[in-house]
Amino acid sequence: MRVVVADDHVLFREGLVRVLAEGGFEVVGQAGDGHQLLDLVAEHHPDVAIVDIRMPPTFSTEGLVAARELGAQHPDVGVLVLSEYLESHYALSLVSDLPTGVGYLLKRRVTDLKQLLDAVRRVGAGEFVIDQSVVSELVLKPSTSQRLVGVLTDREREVLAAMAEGRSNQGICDRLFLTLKTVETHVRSIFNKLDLASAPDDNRRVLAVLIYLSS
Amino acid sequence: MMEATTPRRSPKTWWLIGLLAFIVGWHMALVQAGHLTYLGRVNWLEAVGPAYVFVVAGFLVWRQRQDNRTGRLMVAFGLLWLIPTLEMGSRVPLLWTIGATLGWPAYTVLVYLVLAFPRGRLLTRPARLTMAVVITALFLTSGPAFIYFYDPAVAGCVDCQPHLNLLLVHARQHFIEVSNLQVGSALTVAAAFLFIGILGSRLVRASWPQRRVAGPLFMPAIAWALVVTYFNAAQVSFWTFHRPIWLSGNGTFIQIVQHLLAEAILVMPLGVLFGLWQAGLRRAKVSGMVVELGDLPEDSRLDDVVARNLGDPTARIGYPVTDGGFVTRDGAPLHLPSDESGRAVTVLESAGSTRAVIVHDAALLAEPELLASVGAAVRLFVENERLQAEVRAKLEDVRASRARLVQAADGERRRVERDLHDGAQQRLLALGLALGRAERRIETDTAAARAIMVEAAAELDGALDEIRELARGIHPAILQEQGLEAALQMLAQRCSVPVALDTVPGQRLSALVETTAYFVVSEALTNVAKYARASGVRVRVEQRAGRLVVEVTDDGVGGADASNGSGLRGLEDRVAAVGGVMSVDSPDGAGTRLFAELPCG
Repeated sequence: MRVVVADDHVLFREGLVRVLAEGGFEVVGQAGDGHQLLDLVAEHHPDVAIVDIRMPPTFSTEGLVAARELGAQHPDVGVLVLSEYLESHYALSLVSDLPTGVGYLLKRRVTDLKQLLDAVRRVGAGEFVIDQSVVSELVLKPSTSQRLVGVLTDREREVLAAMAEGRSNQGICDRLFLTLKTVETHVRSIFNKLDLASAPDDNRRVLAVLIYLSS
Repeated sequence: MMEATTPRRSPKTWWLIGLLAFIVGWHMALVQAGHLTYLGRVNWLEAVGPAYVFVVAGFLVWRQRQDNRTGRLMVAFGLLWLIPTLEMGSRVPLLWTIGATLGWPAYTVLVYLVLAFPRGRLLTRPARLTMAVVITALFLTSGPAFIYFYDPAVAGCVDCQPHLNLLLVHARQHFIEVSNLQVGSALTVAAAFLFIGILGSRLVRASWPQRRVAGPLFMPAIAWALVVTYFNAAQVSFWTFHRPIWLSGNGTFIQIVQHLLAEAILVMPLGVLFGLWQAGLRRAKVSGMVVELGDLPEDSRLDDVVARNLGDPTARIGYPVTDGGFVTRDGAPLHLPSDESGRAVTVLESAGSTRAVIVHDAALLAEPELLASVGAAVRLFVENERLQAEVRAKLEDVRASRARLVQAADGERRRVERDLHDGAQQRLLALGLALGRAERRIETDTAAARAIMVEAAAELDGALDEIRELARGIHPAILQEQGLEAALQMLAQRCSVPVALDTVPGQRLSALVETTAYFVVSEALTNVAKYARASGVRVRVEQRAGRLVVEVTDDGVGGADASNGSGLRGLEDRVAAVGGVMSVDSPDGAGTRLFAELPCG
């Protein structure tokens, strides 16, 4: 998989590039801000662009703006946005704005290289990746947890959280050590109980779940 | 200007009691001696009455206006008035002679009293001239001028004993007719005209407050003078032209005229009291003025309130301006009147400086208590407004400074966040990445893993350094642990420009003072290193009379301006927040001297 990395902090960027290279990715370009990123993507047309949310010149949400731009100009390029701080609404706006292959991950996940590389790969494959802390924040939100308690079983809630992280049924199996059949049963049950329209593909499913959780 | 008033003691009540007892005794003695019998029953009031009324009224006025002669003049008149009563129907030559010779002092005092009212002084040249004419006329028409040639028995006094006049040299009726009844009376008429003219013109030209005070006295005084005029004109007419005017031959009319004379005199002290009472009424209203001022609507003018309460529509208030002059509330210059202009100035002072002046009618000087009361109310009002303005200005300063402090603190927090984000956080993330890579290899490629671990340790060191540096910027630990001296030495060592550290107090001060002093020096040294291009800088910290003096002087290019650099401005606020003052003296090309004084009780 071909990857472009955009982060203004050289130290971190270099480290990330090394990790990606060692993880079997081909890093075709490094950018220090949003504009460079757009140029590089137009030039190399990578599978995934990894973008720091805070970049020059204003150090606020340049990464988010660049991600939306990429989604509009190159819908087939996956975008993984990295953020220092947990900001759920950015994650939600990303998955609702971009049709496929988008992710929001906290930077601190770099200590778990497996998770990081897995996220890059999934975004590259067109899946949604939502950081687990975003999901747990939504699920644990008092108003949401009140709605869920008594409606879903504990196991169903775990499945719901895994779904919200963007995992496919297979991914949920791997995560929770369940059989595919069981997972499918749980998913159906959850959709019935929460009165969600069943979605044909995984991404729409994630979106439906997230919108439900954040409402 | 208001006249300087010397405080006088208030007359004691027993003086009044003593004086009244004296008059009563005199009265009784007169009755006993038969002096009053020939005058009839009613006329004791006209003979002794003025003594009673003037002494009592004069005493009251004297009490109210200790700095004004009017009251004392009234008492004096009341007593002097008794002397001529010795003459009335007297059979004792000595008493008769005294009574006949010393009638004039009472009238002199009375005329003076009226002419000098209400100030108690003769202020104008016409008044002084009139006084002179009156005294001359009195002299001619009363004892001293002709007593040596006057024998009452010869002059037609049927009841009179012979040899009553001890001073009689030789009875010369003709001389008396000429000096007393012709020249003296003519002069009296002239004096009375002058007197009436002066009082009349004063009443006509007077302002309302003047009229209110003087009118009750001037009216009976004019009436009295008119009667005197008529009486003397009749004398002149009869003796000079041998033409009796009106009913001069009829005793009843003469008696009526004499009654009128006495009664006009009786009314005068009541007039004085009435004027005073009116002034008192107005003074009582001043308490209402204080209430009025407390609730003064925005658009109404203090001048109007004061004018109304003083009863002087021309009253104006002036406020001092820096050039020593005065302006009205609208900013128009207000010229202080001269003494002769009929206007006067009351100066309102507070804490040794003039806060305002009231320019008003000079007549109000006769009502010092009213002026003092209104003045006090105005002074309170003006002083209150001034203090409010001062507090508002100070509050505005404090508000702005507080806003800047909050901004500075906010900016500081943002800086710390950026420093953390760009520094330690990135190093720790890189460290995380390195650890992840090392973990992957630890089994397959130990040597590579070890190399990565070494790299990671270096990142960790870097992160620790950056955090330590940041913490020092937020609050230097050494300051808290070892005090100002050690902390300043640390600053001096780290400064890129050589620092000479002079005296620093060894003892510990309050944390707030130490921190403030530390940041003053720290900011100053940062500025020196950044901008001053100095070859050396001197730091002096000294404790002096409850204040900590901090001084940082360099030999650089100067030109620093506290109002420009946000750093110096922030420092100024910081110093002000602990109640200190800071100044920067930085002439171009001559180095910079930063000076701060912090209270350290």
